[in-house]
Amino acid sequence: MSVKFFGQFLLERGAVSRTDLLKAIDLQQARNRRLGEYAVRRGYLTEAQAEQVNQAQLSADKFFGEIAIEMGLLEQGQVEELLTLQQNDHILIGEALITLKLIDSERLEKELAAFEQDQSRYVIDDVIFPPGTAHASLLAVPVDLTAKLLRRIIGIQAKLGEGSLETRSPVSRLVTVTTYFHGSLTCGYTLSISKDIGSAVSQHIAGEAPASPDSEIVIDSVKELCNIISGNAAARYAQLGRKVEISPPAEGAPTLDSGKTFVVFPLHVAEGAVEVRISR
Amino acid sequence: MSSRVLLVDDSVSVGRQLERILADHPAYEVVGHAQNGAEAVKLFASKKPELIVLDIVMPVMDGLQALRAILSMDENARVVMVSSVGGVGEKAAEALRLGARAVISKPFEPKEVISTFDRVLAEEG
Repeated sequence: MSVKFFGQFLLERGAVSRTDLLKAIDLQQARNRRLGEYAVRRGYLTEAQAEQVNQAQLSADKFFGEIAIEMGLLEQGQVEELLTLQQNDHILIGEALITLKLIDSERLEKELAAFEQDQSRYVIDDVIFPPGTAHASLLAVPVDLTAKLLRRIIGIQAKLGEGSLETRSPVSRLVTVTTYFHGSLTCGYTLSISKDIGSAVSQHIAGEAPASPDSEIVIDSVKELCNIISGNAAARYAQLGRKVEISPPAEGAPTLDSGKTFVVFPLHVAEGAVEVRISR
Repeated sequence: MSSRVLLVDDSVSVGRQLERILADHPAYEVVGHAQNGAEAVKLFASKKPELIVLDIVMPVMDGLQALRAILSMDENARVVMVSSVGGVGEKAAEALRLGARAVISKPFEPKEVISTFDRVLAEEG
């Protein structure tokens, strides 16, 4: 199990068919429109202006309304009105399935309870960032998921420490891989783990003990772990209404620009070492 | 007789993990492992597997492009997509719309993997 959408959960459990799920997604897409579309429909923005805000949103960690206000295209009151319209129309996948009579309410409730229980393992706990860190609640997602997925995938308990601002790169004895988030959140996520834990990751992901802690399969497995963590984070962002793409993981840590710092989080484990770096 | 499975993932570790899950189930036989979409299309043509397990994000040719190519060669091909990377919901929905039979997400739960494969192979058409 992983962070996932309710529709995918229903499909995996055989509660709905692929064809029925697609019908419900079609209804959702027809009903759940972006804020920019409401702004155009109400005559507050032209299509070109809405597109201008969408483009600006690709490189800013902000909502459409916030950016449109900053650009002087919308007033606060207009954004609030548009958000109300959007919320009134919004339909969840379960509601779409019920509307189309593709699932009965009793089965839906049962599946929803199972889904909530499954996803409770991935509720984001408090992650302590240095004071003044912008968008800390969003940046917390991959950091917290690192601890949860280490537990889920290789069965080790990792206690997340406080984040601190640092400029140092990971030490070379650690296996280090990095992926980047792009879109309505832009940052680098770097995972560094000691070779003994890397070997354990390989055993659990590839199903075999590596010939040596320096084997290619260890690096490949740690990249895959990074891929799973960032992919699950991207799914969580999508659930929060943020569209975030991620790059395939690559070995190594980013080079910091002058004056920039990493936020480094230690994950305390019984043996070995795990660190996460977030770079902006 | 066992069902022939083609695994497509750029990660060697993931390929081995799926092989390990299938090794416990004699109903399945892994007939190939491709590491990108282009290799997958070639292996699909030569091995004629009954089931293709296709990662969505891969280098050279991604999973959605490979899915289109495979379905253009055989519209009844049974493809299960593997999802872990960004835009999960949209890409998974697009894959289903294109004709993928199911989507499984990482990290894998062996029971879920097998039940999904069993269900897809039991579907008509």
